[in-house]
Order: sequence, then C-alpha cells, then structure tokens
Amino acid sequence: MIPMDRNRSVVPMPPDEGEQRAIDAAREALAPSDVQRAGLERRLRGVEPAVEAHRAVARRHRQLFAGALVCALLAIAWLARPLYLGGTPVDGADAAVTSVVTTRAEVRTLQPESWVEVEVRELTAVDVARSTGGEVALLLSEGEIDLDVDPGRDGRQVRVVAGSVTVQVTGTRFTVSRQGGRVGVSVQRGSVLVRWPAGETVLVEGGRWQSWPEDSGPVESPPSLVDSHTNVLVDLEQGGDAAADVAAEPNQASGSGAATLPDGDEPPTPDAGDALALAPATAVPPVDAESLLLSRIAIQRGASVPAADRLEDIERFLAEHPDSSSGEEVMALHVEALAEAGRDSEALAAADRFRDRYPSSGRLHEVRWIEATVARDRQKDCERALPVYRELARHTGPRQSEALYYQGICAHELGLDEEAADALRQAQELGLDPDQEAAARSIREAGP
Amino acid sequence: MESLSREEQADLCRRLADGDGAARAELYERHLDDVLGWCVRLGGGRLDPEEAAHDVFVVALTRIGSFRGDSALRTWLFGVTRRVLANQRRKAATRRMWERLTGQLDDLPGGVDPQTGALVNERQRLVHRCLDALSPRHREVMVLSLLEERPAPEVAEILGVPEGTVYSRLYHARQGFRRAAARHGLVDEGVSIPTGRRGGGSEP
Repeated sequence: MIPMDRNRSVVPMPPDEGEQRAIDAAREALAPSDVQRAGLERRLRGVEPAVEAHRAVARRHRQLFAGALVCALLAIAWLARPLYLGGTPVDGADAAVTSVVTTRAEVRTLQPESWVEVEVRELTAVDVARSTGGEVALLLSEGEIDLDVDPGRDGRQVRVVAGSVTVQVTGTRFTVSRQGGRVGVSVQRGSVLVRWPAGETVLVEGGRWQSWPEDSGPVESPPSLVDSHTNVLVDLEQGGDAAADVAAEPNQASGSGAATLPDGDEPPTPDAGDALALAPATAVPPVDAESLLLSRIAIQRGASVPAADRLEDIERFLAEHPDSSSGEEVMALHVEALAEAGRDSEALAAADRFRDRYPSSGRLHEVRWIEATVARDRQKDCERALPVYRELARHTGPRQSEALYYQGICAHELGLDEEAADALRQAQELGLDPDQEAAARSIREAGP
Repeated sequence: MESLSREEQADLCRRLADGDGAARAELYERHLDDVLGWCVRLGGGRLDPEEAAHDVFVVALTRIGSFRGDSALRTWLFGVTRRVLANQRRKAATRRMWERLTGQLDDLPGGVDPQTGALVNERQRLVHRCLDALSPRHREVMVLSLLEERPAPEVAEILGVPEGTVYSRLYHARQGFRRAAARHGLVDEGVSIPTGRRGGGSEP
C-alpha cells in the first residue's frame, strides 16, 4: 500500500483499489533485477578506460565549442558593427532616449546620428536623445564624454546638459566631464557655446572651462575674462601667475581659448519641444553630490545594471548620506539589490533595518515581499517567512491570494495544518494559478 | 545507508576526482541502486537500463570536478541520469528511423526489444506504455514518489523544485497514469480504475 504518513510519502489522496493495483504492478514490473545489478557491477569494474575516453571526447568537444564560440562572436560583432560604429543606439526613429551607464574600465562609442560620435568614458551615466528636428541632446549625470561633431550640417546641433551647465555646438570635437558637482569642458577643435545659470561664453580650440561648486563663496572676476559669471572657473592648467590668480577666483569663465559673446550676438536658445527641455540652461540650482549619486542610482536601476554593480553606489549613498530624505527609497533599493545579487542574509538584515526605521513606509509592503521570498525560497526558512506572509495576506490587493497561498505552504511545512488549510482555502477562493491551485487542493485534501 | 554530511560528500568528490578506487566503490555502493532504478523506470522499454546506468557513472566520474557541492550528490546524479537518458532516447530514435528507412528493422517476436535485444516482458511493456503517456516531468515525480516511495522533501530536493510543485505535478501525474492504466488494461479486468474525470471516479 502507498504510505499516507506525511513524512514518508507525497501522496495526499488515498488511492482506490484500482489505482493501488496499477501502482503495485508498475512497481513490481520495473524493479531492477539482480541480474541487471550484477551485470552493471561487473561492467563498472573496468570503467577506467571508458572514463578516460570520455574525458578525451569532452576535451575535444570543449575545443570545438570554443572555436565555434569565437566564430559566432566574430560573426555577431560583424553583424552588429553598424549599431556601434555606423548606426544608432537610440531605439526608435525620433525623440527616442537611451540611457547609457558604463562600469569601471568600460568605454562605449555611440553614434546617435551619422554626423556625431560620442565616446562614453568609464563610470559615466548619460542619456542620449534625438529630437524630431534632428538635434542630438545628451544629459550627462556623471562621468565624462568625448564628442566629435561633423561641421557643415546646417540646422543640426548637439547640446550637452550637465546639471545647470549647457554646452551647445554645431561642429567641433570636445569633452564634457561632470564629477562630484563640478562640470568641465575642453575643446580640441572648433568652438562651443557654454551656458550656465548666470552667464555664457564661447570656447575655441584649446580652451577649457570648469564650473566651481556653489559653496566656494563669492569672488571677484578679472574683467578681461568674464562678464557676469558667478559660478565658473577657467583654464586651471594654463600655469604661471595668471593661472594662480584665476584659480583663486572660482566663479569665472574663459581662458586662452575662451571668448565672451559679442554684444547683441544672442546665443541659440533651446526649443520648447526638445527632448531635454526639462533641463533648462538657466536658473537651475547647482546639483549637489547627494542628488548626483541619487540620479546615478536611479539611472543604473532603470538601465538594468547588474545588482552587484548597483550596490556600490547604493552603499556609498547610505554611508555618506545617512540622514538623507531619500534614505527610505535607497534603503528599499538596497534590500532589492542585495536579494538580486544573492546576498540573502544581508538582504534579510537590510529588510529588518528598513522595517525598524520606516515602519509606516509605502515601500514596506514591497520590502516585506522580498524578505518573505528570500526566507522561504532561498533560505528554506519557513519560520521566518510565515509571519511575514501572514502580514502580507492581510493586505487586500492583487497579491493577496499569493500571500495566502504561501502562508498556507509555510504553515504546512511547519505542521500547522489548521492554519495551512484555512489560508489555502482563502487563497483558492480568491483565485490561484493552475499549479498553485493543484498544490493547494492536494494539501487540503490530504488533511491534517 | 546513512547520508553523508556536506564535508564528507566534498571529501568523496575530491577523492573521485583524483581517481581513488575506494571512493569509486563507495559511490557505487551508495548510488548504484538509485541510478539503475532510475534508468529502468525512466528509460522506457526501448533502452537498455544496464547500459544507460553504466553511461551515467562514466559521465559522472568524468564530470565530478564540475560538481560544486551546492546540492546532494544524489540530486546531481539524477540530473546526469536525466541527460544521459535523453541522449540515449534521441540516439535510439534516430537509429530506429534510419533502420526503418533502410528496411533493416525486423519485427522481432514479442518479449525482445528490437533495438537492445533486452528481454522485456509484457507486463513491463504495459507499464512503460502507461508511463510513456506522461510528460517527462510528471513521469519523474510519479517514479520518485509512487514507485520508489520517497518522501516529498526528498523528491523536491532531487528534482530541485519546491515541495508544492511536487504535489501539483504528482496530482497531474496520477490523473494521467490512471487514465493510461485504464486504457491499456494494466490491471486485471473487472477492477475499475477511476480516470479522475468529473463524475467518472470514486475519489473523495
């Protein structure tokens, strides 16, 4: 007979006579015979040559596989060549935005239009957008990009927005960097227009420009180099006394390759319909390090950067800004990233910290789901998961039946048959997917 | 036989990778019956289980270095068995198709499998036919749970699925097996086997 003891069998429903006989017949017919066992033992005594032969074949297969893989990668690289060298990484034809985040030592080359090439340096987060008018706009959140824009394309422009600074160009080669709140621009060829909340300047070949953090205090500007600048430092690397003088005047612009705009020569203004119109070139407060890091974390998550890489910035944020108003959001992301990275114990500890610190958070529900899933599915710890599922099951919503189902499964695992049956019944009433429905029915029918 | 602790299992695998004969004997002693049983019950009537089990151990001994020890050795061996059987079934099907095309396939008298020559009695044929009616996943859970009478946590561990999944698969497997057993007359005439369809069975 099929045993019905819960610890001995998975059979929740007692078989009737016919089924029992069929199972007994199958068991008897398919029992390995002593002859088979003895034959196998005899053959396994001389297994060494077969193992050696198999190893040789496996080695050969590995070599063939490696060769085929190299060929396939070369073929893919060849086919994808236009995407990275000559095509566009931007999805869709118009006004599409692509987020690019590079990791350490990673450099990517993008060509959003045939006439502009962007090299994204390591540890950089940038959004690339093309407006319907053919303009290319880049929102630099952190890091450094090199741009090479082909001149002679009338009406086609490239703009780079880095915090409160906008760099506009029609044809040139230049670099924009943004590190810890400071924005730098250097021009290798042609000229660019740099605009910031309180002023603007034109940089020509060899010119450099760098913003200065807002908290540097007010300074006086050398009249020959600036007009109304308040937040700019120019050409720190020119050397000599002049450079030292300028360096002492943090809110200034222009240098050997810089020139202020002539009177009456209005710089082009961004169109209202631009993809990056939300980042205006004027009256934008300087971006602080906390916001920068926060935007980087948000971009990385949106760009599906691997959890292990995201954790670096998240943990840096939590360490450097423990009292941030965004702490709640980042702590929840921390739990999520730890779980995704497979750091289960740390994820559970982070979930505890989140619950203690933000007991009434709107994200607590989401964090509790992660906690329960990690405890039950990864750590097989139903004792920890059960109270969480009980709590989740009290929330009415689209996942209530799922919470009730897992409450029932955990209770069943722990031998709490009455609670299991009750939770599973409620889950069934609310509706379950077919597999869960079948499991719930089996467990309930098995009874206590 | 007493199951091994994680450290003992790691030690056994290390010795197997080094080609230690005593370790190999211990592996056979612990798992030969499991592997042979799986090959008999999951292989179907057209494969030689002895041959298949031999191949499982050859593959296992070749690949033991890749076993990371995250699961029980038996779970890993089950995975190897599953792949070996799938390969052999594929090869047997190809061979059968080729022989049919070239007219070499002779109808052998009942009781002898045309491919392996192994003796297969009529009852085994019937049981295999009933099990063949199940999907591979349902067949696995049927074999491990009902024919080998393993407890649910053990089946879940061997298959690498949650215990709830074992229950749900078993539910469907039993339905399919009951229907196939009734259709093929696995039990003596006069004994009804409910099919599990609404109104057609005597289930509680």
